[in-house]
Amino acid sequence: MSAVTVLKLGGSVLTGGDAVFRAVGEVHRQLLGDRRVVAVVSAEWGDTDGLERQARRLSAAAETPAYTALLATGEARSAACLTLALEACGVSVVLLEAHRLALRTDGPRSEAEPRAVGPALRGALEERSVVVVPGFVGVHEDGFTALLGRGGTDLTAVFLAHHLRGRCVLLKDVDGWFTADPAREPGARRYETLHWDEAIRRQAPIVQSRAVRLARRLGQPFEVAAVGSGGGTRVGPWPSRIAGPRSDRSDRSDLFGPSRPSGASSPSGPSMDTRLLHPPSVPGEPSGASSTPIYQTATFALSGEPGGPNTGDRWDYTRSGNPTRDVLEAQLAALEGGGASGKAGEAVRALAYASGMAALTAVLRQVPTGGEVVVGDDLYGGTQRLLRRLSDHLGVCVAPVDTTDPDAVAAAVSNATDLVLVESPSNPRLRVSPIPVLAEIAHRHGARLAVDNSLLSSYLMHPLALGADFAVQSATKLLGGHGDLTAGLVAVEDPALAERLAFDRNAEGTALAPFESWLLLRGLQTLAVRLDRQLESTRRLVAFLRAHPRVQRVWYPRHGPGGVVVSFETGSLERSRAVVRETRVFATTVSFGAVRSSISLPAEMSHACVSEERRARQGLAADLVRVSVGIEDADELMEDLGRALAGPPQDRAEGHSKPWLGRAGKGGGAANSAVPRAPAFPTTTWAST
Amino acid sequence: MSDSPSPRPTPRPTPRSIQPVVVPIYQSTTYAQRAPGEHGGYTYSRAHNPTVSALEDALARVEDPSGSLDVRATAYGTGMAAIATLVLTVLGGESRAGAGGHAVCSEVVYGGTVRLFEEVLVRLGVTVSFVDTGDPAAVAAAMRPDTRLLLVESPGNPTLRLTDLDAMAGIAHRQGALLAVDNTFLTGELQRPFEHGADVVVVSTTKFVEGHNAALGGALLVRDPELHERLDRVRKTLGTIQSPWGAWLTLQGLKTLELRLGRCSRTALRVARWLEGRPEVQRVLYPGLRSFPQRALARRQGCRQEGRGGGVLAFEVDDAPRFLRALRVVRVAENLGAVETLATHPASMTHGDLSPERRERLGVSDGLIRLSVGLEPEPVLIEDLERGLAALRKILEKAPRGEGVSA
Repeated sequence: MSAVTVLKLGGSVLTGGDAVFRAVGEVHRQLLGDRRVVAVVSAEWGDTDGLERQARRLSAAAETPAYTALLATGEARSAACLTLALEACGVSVVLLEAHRLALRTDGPRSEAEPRAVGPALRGALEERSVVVVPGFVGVHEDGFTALLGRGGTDLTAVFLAHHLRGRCVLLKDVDGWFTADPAREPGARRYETLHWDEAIRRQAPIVQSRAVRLARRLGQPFEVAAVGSGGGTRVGPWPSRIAGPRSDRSDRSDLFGPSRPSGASSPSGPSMDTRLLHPPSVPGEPSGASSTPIYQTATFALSGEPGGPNTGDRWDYTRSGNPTRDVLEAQLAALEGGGASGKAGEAVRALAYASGMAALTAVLRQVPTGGEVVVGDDLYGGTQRLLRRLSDHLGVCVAPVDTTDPDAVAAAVSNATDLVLVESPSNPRLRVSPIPVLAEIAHRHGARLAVDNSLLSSYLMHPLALGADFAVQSATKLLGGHGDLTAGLVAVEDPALAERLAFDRNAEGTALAPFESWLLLRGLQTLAVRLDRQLESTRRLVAFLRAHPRVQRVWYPRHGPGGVVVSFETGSLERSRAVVRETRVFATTVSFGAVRSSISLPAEMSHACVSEERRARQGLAADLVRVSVGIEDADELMEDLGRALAGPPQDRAEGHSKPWLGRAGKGGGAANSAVPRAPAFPTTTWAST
Repeated sequence: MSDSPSPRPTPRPTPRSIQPVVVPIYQSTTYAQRAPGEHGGYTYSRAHNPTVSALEDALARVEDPSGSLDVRATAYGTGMAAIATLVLTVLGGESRAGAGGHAVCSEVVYGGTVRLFEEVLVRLGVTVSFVDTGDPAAVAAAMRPDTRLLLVESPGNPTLRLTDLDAMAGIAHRQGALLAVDNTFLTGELQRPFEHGADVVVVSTTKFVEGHNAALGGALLVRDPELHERLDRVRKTLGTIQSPWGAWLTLQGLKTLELRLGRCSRTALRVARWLEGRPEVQRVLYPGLRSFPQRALARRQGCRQEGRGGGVLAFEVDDAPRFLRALRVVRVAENLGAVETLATHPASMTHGDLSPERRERLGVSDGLIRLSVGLEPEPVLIEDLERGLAALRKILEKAPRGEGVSA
C-alpha cells in the first residue's frame, strides 16, 4: 500500500458554506505524490455543543449509549457531507461510518481511550484513494457508541496514523503552533518543530494535551497546519525550534548555532549540550580524530618567504595563538553566547587564560592608573588580594558595596567609576546581585560591568545576555570539573574590548597552555551530565541543612539555578572545624565544582588572606562552612554531613587522612573509586591495605 | 630488571606529605634504587608504575565496591593486549613441546578477538572453538579435556547476544577451565561477573571506562592471587602494560563512569523503542526491549531494567551506508562507549575480517548498524536518526506510481 496521510479536519475548517469545498481542495492536495488519505472529520463548529445542550434538556445522564449516540451525530453529519462533496468532485472516496470503522475503545464512555481499529479501514484504502471517517467516535466492547472526549478527533487522527504507519496532519485555523495566540499578539512566533513535552506543557493549547500524550506514547509525530499551509509545525521528539527566516538547514554550522532555550533544565538547551560534546575540528586537520589533537608545540613553521609578508599563516607562536586553544575558545564562546537574549553567538569572543586570577587581572587591566572600581563586598579572597594590590600600587580606588542592593550601588557609582565588578552568586555566601540593574547603573555613568560567574558557570547563567560587558570565570571549577586543571576565561561581545584583551594577553603571555586547553575541552563534554546530578544533589542537601537542628544559618540563592555550592554556619567555630574534619566523603580542599565533593572553612582557607576585621565587616563568619557538591550519591553525602554535624569531635592521631568511602549512584557502583583510598600520598594509596 | 616478587609494591614515602587530590602522572621509565634491590617497590615502568597501580586499584573497586571479593587488576595498553596476555598466561602446553591448549569462545564476539585466535595464536598451537555461548548445551559439547579457558562476551558484539554466566561458570569449572567474561559493554557498574562465578573479568577500558575517545587501554581482573601474579609476570615479560599517561586519562574518565553509563543506558532504551516503531527499520536489538530474543535471560541477569541495558544497541536497515552517510550529529567511527554517539557498520568495520557466510550466520548482516549512544539529548539524536531514515525513504518513494485520482 502506498504511503498514507491521516488528515484531520477540525470543526472550524468545515464550518461555513464554502468550507467543505476548501476541505476538498486540501484533501486533493494531499493526494499528490501518490499518497492515500484518511480524512478524519470533526463536527461542524458548535454542533457538538448544541447536541450536548439538547441532551441535557432531556436527561442528566452522560454515560449512556443514547447520550453518546446523540453526540456522535455531529461527526456523522460532517463525514457524510465531506464524502458527498468529494464524490461530486470526482475523487475516489468511500465513507466508513463509526460502526464500520470499528475504533475499539474502553474506559469511560464519554472520555474513552482508543485501543484498536477494525479491518475495514485497510480494506477500504486498498480500493479507494480517500477514506472519510468520523473522528471523536468509537465503539465499546458492548457494541455501543463511545466518545473520545475533548479533542477526541485529534486522538482519532493520531491513533489511526500510528495504526497505518502514516503521516498525521491536524488542520486547524492557525498555520501551526505559535508562542502565543497570533490573533492577539502580533509578535507571536511560529514553531517550526515543537517537542512533545513542551506541547503538553502549553497553556491554552492548539492541540489538547491528551492527544499529544497519546502521540508521545505511541511515538507518532504529527503536524499542525492551516488549509493551504506554507509552514505549519511538526510536533514530535525533536527539539523545539522557532521558525526563522532561514529554514534551510543544509549546512552543518546551523546545528551548532545559538540555541533557544527549550525549557530543558539548562537555559542553554539541548543543542548546546550536543555542541559541547562535538567540538569543531581544527581547520585543515585531516585525520578526523574524535578528540582534538593537543598541539603541544611552541612554534609553527611559516609558509611565507623569510622577510616577506606572512599573510595566511594562522599560527606562529603558541603564546599568541594555538589550534587546541582556538577550539576551546570556540566552545566557550558558544557556551557564553547561548543565552536567552537571542544575540548571535558569533558575536561573543572568549579568551582562555592560565587561571581565573589571570582572567580577572586582564579585566582589571582595563582600569587606568588612579581609576575607580566599585566592587561587591562578598568576593573571593584572591580577588580581594588582587584589588588591594591595585589600590596600593596603582592608586586605584576600590569601593566595596553591597551589590545585592541597587540603591547602594547607584549611590556608589559615579562618573568617576571605570568598572563595576561583582560576583554573582558571591563567594562564599551565595548572594545574588541583580545584574541587569547593575549594568544599567554602570552604563549610565560610562562605566563597564564585569561579572564573575564562576559559581554558576556559563552553562547556567549568561552575564553578557543580562547586560554585562565582561563575563569572567575560573574554569578550574565547574567547567573543568575534574580537579585536574587551572584555567580562567573572559568573554566579551564588544569587538574593541576583545581586541584589547587579546593584545594584552599576547603582550603579557597569560594564555592557557595547549594541554590544559585540551583537558578543559574534555571536561566540557560532561558538563551537562555532571551539573544535572550535582544540582539535584545540592537542592536536596540544602533542604537537609535548612532542616538540621545544628545548623544555624544556610546560605544558598533562593532564585535561579542556585549552583553546586552551599554555605552554612553552626554557631560555633569548634563545631565547624570538627565538621570539616569529620566528613569522609567530602574532601577538605579549597576550590569547588569538581566531581568530588569538598568542604572548607573559608575564613581559614580561601579567604584567609582577607584580614579578620575586614571579614567581620563583610559579614563572613569564622564558623562559616562552605560545601561543594560533587557527583556522589546524594544520600551518602547527607549521611556523611549529618554524621559530622551530630558526632562529637574525635581525637585523631595524625593529620588530615580521610579514607575515601564514597559510592555514586543507586546501582552500587563506585564512580569515584578513581580517587585513591587515602589522599595521603604515596604511602598506602595503591598498596594492599 | 629487578624481579622483585611483590605484586603490590609500595612507593617509598616522602618526608613531607604531598596530598594531590588527583593522582600524579608518573611519566617516568625508571626509579632510583638506594642500592641494588633496595627500593620502594617500583623498579621499571614495564613492570609497575604508580599511576598504573592507582588505576588498577580503582578498577578493582568498580568490580568489587565493598572489597569483600578481594579483586586485583592488571592494566594493559589495549583491550587486545589484555586478552592476548590472558591467553598466553592461561593456555599453552605444560611442557615446552606440548600442544597449545584449547579455548572455547563466544562466536558473537569482537572481530579482533577472532583475528587474535585465528591469525596469531594458532601459530603457537592454541586451538579455539567459537560457539554460541547463548546455548549452554553447545558450550558443554564444545569443551574438551584440554580446554583451559572459556571466554565469553555478554552482551556480545555487535548483536548483543547474551550468555548465561551462571551456567558458563558451572560448565567451565566442571572441566577444570577458567571462565573469563569480557565485561566491556556493561562494566562493573551494571554487571558483576564475579558474582556469577567468573574467574577473570576482561575490560577494554578504551570504551565506557575512559569514555572520552582519548586513550586506549585494557584490564584483567581476578580474585585468585596466584593467577594475578602469573598475569603480572607475563605482562612484564611481554611488555603489554598500560602507559602512565593512558592510565591517568583512564582514571579521570573513570570518575564519571557511573554518571555517563547510566545516562547512555536510559537514552539507549528510548532510542531503541523509537527505532522499533519506524517502518524503515527491520529489527532492533537491545536487552531492554520487550522484543529482545533472550528476554527471560535479560531479566534474570538484570539488563532489562531501565538504565541497566547498557549504551549499545543494534538495528537493521536496507541500506546501511546510505543511512550512515546522512547522519550529521552521530559520528560514523570505530569505538564505542564515548561521550559522543558513535555508529559503526560491523560488516565492513569491526567484523570486516570475518567471511560473509560467517557474518550471516551470526546475524551480522550488511544492513546491521551498531549504535553506541552518548550523552547527547535524546531529541537531538532522534532528529539525526530521522535524517538517516529520510534518506532511506527517498529510495522507497521512487517506487512506480499506483492508481492516483480516478473519475
